[in-house]
Amino acid sequence: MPNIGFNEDIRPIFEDFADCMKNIDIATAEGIFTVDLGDFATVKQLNQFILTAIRGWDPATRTGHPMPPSGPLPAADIQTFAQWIDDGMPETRLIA
Amino acid sequence: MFMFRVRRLIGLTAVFALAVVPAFAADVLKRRNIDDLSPQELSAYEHAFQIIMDRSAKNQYDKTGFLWQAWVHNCPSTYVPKDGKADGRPPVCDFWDGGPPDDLSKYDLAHPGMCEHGKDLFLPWHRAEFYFFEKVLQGADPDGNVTDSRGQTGPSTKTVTVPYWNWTRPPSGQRYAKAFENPKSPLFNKDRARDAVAVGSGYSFSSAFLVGYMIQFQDWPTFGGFPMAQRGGYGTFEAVSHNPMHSLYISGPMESPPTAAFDPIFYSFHAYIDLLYEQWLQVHGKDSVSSQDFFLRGEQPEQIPRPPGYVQGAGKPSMGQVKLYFDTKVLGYEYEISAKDALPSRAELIKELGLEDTQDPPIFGQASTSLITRMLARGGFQASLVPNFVRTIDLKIPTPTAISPDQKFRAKFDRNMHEPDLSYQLDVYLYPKDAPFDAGSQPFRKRYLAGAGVHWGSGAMLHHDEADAASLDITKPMLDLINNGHGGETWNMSIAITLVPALTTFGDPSLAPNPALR
Repeated sequence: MPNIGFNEDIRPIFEDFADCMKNIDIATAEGIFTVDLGDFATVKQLNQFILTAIRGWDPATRTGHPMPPSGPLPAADIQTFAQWIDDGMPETRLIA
Repeated sequence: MFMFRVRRLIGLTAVFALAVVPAFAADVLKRRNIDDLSPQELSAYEHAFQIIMDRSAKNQYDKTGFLWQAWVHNCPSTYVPKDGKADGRPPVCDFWDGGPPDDLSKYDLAHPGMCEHGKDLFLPWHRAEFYFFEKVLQGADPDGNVTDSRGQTGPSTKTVTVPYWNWTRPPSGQRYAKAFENPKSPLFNKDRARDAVAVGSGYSFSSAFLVGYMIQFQDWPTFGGFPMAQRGGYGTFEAVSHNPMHSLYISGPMESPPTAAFDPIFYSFHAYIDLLYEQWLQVHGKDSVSSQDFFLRGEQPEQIPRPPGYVQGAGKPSMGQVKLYFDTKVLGYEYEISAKDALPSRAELIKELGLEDTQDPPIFGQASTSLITRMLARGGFQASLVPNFVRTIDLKIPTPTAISPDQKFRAKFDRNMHEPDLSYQLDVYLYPKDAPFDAGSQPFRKRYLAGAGVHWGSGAMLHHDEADAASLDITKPMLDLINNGHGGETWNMSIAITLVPALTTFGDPSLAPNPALR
């Protein structure tokens, strides 16, 4: 069973981009939220938008604004993030 | 280009500093073609522009100033003094060109705004932006007693609306509406393209027939963009007409979202887009517009009344939700469309272009010129008759005994899924081996055209690009050949592709990709 936690596995994936994205707002049906990639609650709330953006470089799931702008994340990181969502987005690993 | 803008703002001075008093007429105001404005009406519009430019020259943080309003279009964040007063910092958006001030304790990080592109929020977002921008203009000098930095006092701006520039028609000036080509006007910008447009030259991005076709025949996602909540994706109007007009036809500041709204032509350019959005809504209604609950990014002046039903939503300031911006009369305006600006009706399109209303993608029979060419040429600029790509295969005509009574034939083409989703017309020709291919010849086209269709690409997205999407029914011409004794012969089947210029992303022209055909 996958054992992926935000603190241990997800935050490091986005670490290099957190400062830049902290100044970007994203529109949702609930309101306008700043994309703080270092914040568990924010990433959990915006998980689908983030997943769409980081998958956006793949021609099969291309988006108008793929992220990060410099080029795609490693496929393994994208898969880890997708799996974390499927697992219910725990803040920490379920098994220490 | 941007530095020019900065110097210009610094050089302006405001003679009077008045409190902003937004004026709201009880009546619904008309947005009109800028070519139809009276001298007094154009003067009021220019006066309003100059006043709000003057405001920004005095205090870049004034949300009723031109700079802030331009930032709403694309300044994701910038630092603003807690007291909101001018501080001598360069008038630039910190996200793009600046950086944190020395003493952060005296500042808040503001989020003026960020336009929505490449998704279904494109048209609603710009409508919301203009709702506020228009109110700012109306409040510039409602009593007509403010002297702007040109030394002009009045006229009243109380009933000013953003006039539209109909860029599907030949321009009244050399390249744009005349009002934008007066170097003494605040609507002028020397950095936009200024080459004169001659009939038969320039870019073929739009015509009344082309946008009329989109409005009459395209559903919401195809026309307006794909849902933000899913993968997003350009609607055809944005990809085919809006983007190239920004980047290739007007260019200069308009090439890039962060600077586009610094060019005053942006507002009339997009007012016409809003008119087209309104026309689409009138044809199709609002129910199919997606993401209606989504909030629209933008930090607007507090003194501007929000539209009825407004709630800010959670998080950062917003302009409200998409669903607030459907009824323009509630928002205080409507469009006046004279006969020369009227778009062709559905019936006219069907008649003039030979469209069969019931087929999708539209098949238009034995047209002697391509659909796209005809649409672009009607009231707009010229397009080439020569296809961009031609692929030919040998086609063995079946014998009568080899087919069933209800035999169908479809010409199919695969596209490379790794190429951008461009818009194109495809024509299928069936012709003898000894007949030279000549799509530019009307006799050839009339005699051998077996079918034709058009694919409206959505820019970078591939929503319509499934492998079986590009196919045409050529049953009738095939049966004609079989029934006239050509069974067993080998003919040529050619696929001719004519691309519509489009962009894969805003500001990133791409005209070269070659769809791989089977």
